[in-house]
Amino acid sequence: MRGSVLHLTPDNLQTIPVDSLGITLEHFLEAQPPASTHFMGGIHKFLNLEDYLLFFDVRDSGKLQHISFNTDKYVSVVTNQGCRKVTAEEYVRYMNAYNPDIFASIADLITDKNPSLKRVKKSVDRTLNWLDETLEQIKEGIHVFGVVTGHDKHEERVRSAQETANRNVAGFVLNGFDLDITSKERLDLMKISLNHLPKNKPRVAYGLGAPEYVLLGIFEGIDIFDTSYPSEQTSLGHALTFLLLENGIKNEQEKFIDLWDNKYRTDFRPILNGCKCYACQNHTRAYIFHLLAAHEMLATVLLMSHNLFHYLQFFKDIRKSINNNTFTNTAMQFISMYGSNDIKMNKTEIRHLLF
Amino acid sequence: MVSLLKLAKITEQGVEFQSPHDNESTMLLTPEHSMSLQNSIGADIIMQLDDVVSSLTTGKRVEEAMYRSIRWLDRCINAHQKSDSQNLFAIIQGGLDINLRKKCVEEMILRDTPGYAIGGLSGGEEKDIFWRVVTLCTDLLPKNKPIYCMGIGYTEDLVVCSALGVDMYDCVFPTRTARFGNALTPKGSLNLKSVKFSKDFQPIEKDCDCVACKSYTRSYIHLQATKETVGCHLITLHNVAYQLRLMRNIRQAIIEDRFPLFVKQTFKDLFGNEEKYPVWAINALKSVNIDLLS
Repeated sequence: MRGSVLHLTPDNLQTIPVDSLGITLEHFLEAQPPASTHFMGGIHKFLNLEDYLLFFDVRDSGKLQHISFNTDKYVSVVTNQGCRKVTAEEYVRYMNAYNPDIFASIADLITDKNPSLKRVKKSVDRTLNWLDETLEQIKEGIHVFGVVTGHDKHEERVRSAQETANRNVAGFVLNGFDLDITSKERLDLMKISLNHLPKNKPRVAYGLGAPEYVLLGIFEGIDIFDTSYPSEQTSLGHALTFLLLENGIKNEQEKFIDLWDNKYRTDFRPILNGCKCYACQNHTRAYIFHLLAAHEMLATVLLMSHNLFHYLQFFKDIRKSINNNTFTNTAMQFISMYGSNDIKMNKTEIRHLLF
Repeated sequence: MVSLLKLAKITEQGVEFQSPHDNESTMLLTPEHSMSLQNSIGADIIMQLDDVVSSLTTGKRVEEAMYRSIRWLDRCINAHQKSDSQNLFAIIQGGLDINLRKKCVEEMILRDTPGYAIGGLSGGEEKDIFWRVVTLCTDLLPKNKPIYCMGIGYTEDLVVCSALGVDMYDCVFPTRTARFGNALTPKGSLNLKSVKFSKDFQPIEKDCDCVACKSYTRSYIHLQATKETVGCHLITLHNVAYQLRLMRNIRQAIIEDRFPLFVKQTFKDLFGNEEKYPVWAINALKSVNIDLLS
């Protein structure tokens, strides 16, 4: 949001082994063109993120803002100063000035409930038109990802996927937040699109959230996920403790701990014994409990440091088990341990898929 | 105890106040209990429990609080379990009354504590009276012990009080104003929320070596200020660096025997125009032979 990682200043961000960041353009658009486009040196330097791979999207990958409306020419964006409009042409101009590594093309994401088929068809058409315009005008060296739409209409999802795949894009984005439904239903709709996307280009999904859905998403072919889950958990005062692989940390089988709970008042252990994050190496559960009770901002700094670190470790473990050919079993174990009831059925489906 | 005064009931025994956590249970803080807690926490410098009144209070209550603070100092000294490793500071009270302050200093000096704090000020009193109370205390207190003026933090206040003989300070101002989007610089405060900074690609303060100034421009911080916690953190980091640098510069100027010039330059940078110099500061500095006006 606004080009920063939630709660983390550079000295804190450095303790976390992350190398790529998603940047939301929304709030930059209070002035048009954004003030930062005047900065000589590109967006990496402006954000002090020169060592990171930057992925831009107009939309927040953590949630969907309900907006007034889009037209054939522009999308509406909510900023602190009110609603703003961005055309494809303007958006590409800003991207050319910024020079990010990758960006998602603008898309007509529908926020009305129960849109008609006509409306959904229009959104698929608009999104494709804007993608074409974008690909024409973008500088070489900046990668464009196409956004796959189609809302909840199966045929449109297929059409959008096939048409987007026909364009010269470097990857695909499935923005699950335009579907105001559960994670499982979201994933089911994404599957329809995924079946029509080429396997050799990365696929990004927003809105899958919790770790068990990340695993299910990976089974369906998704490569990149958003970090709204650790952010949300941080704001609730939760510290993540779920584990995919043992890694020398004793698996306590809790998905997270709620540090607002009085029982942590005199618990002088770190959040997770053996975790190498800044919070676990330097502080205790009791201290974070105290910070939350005293309404100190350091609580969210420590929790975010841990949760982000932990979530990234989870992905490291996923990659490790894929390389070792143990992913299926490991993921199934995880889902049965931490998953909620609505996805236990999927376990059987997966078994059928693979055995 | 200043910050919790509203919720407090004070007796000879101690201070009874509502718990800030649940608004229901009450806690009784006595001098003895205060010492026990501070002994457990283990800080290098600890403070007596004082009976402090608002600097705007007048009448018998001020005198009562002053004498009670002396009695509580004695109780603290008796209850202190770790006097070889933790330094207990007395807190001078007496409101804005010169005679009460004198009496308090006289009595507390007899207790020979490792250091002395000047309490009960910075509560909205007139600045022209404030400095006279400070200088009275610094005149009378022993020169070989640190003097700590509580609740002082604006640049001009720090410079003037240092000229009057104060050594140590604390204040919520730099971090609190940071959270509201204001960055402190030698030329005054920058309200980074203001749209005039949206295209300003300089760091907050040139030559400042804090994380914020080394990594970002005013334009970037403007984007964050009051909207993202990162904005609070970055400006806080800068303002704390600014305060520490200010104190370092004061020390260096004193050591290098150029303090009066330093004071004049600081005021010139901060206020620009001599007409804008606060009268109380001119008076206070004159009392120690620093003439602000050329």
